[in-house]
Amino acid sequence: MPEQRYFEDVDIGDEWEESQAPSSADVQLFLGINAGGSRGDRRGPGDGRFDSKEGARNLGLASPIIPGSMSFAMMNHVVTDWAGIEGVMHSIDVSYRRPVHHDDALKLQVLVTDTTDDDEGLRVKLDVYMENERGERPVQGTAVVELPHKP
Amino acid sequence: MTSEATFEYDESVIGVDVELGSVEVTAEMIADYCKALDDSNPLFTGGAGIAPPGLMSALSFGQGGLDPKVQFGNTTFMAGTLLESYAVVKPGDTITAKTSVKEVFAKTGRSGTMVFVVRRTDFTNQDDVAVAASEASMVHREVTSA
Repeated sequence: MPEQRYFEDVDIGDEWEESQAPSSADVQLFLGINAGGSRGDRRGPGDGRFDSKEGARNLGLASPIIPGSMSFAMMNHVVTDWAGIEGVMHSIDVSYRRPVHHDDALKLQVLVTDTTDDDEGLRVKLDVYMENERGERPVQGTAVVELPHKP
Repeated sequence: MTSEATFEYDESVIGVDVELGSVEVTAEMIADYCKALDDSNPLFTGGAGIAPPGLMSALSFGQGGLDPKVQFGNTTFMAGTLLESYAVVKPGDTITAKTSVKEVFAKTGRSGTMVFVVRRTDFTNQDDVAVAASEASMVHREVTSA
């Protein structure tokens, strides 16, 4: 968990990253978050893409993938970590370009692209990326967070 | 250079709101979410007891929205997600989701033609306060086995 980040300390071009390697057990835990209260469709379309080599191969994939909603959750995670506990994430918008496989060694990256201090508060615009060990960026997008003033 | 793709879908579902149901957010859900992501942020794991914003997109509400019955491709994948957070969600809050199909469109590029379905979902709490909204796009495409 990083230290609190303050608006005055942020500059355009600042970069930050975290690492993650979601295991098959992590994927199963994520898919089961409220499976007891649902019809079970959180487990995906039922074709095995999230938990079966055969299911993945039938879709042209080399191995099981993690759900897009979990990739999205990881991007949320890096943004809320970057912002610190006094920061507020207002929005995040990502696109999924390539599949993310179980145990991929992922870097979750944040790049500051703009800062504004106006009626809406102290806002920072970020580019966010997920990069795998093959140098690909399977997920990328933008986020807007609000940071506190430095005390 | 793109060409006009041919596909069929049920246009009558566009813009029709459907309530998906309600889910009570529990401390256990938040703990599982954080454990799966190795998220140790004390805002979510400590005494503050706040739900991570991304939890909204991880919840299932018991049913899907209206199906535009896209006649294209042999599978679907997630293409994108936008989430706007408006208010804090805590354990014990009951979140209700209402969704609609916003648009259906085709794109043709280097990897061929794909058809996108964009759904908007609005999340409100037990006091009818809007806590978040999302737009999720699914892509329909043709794939072959590896």
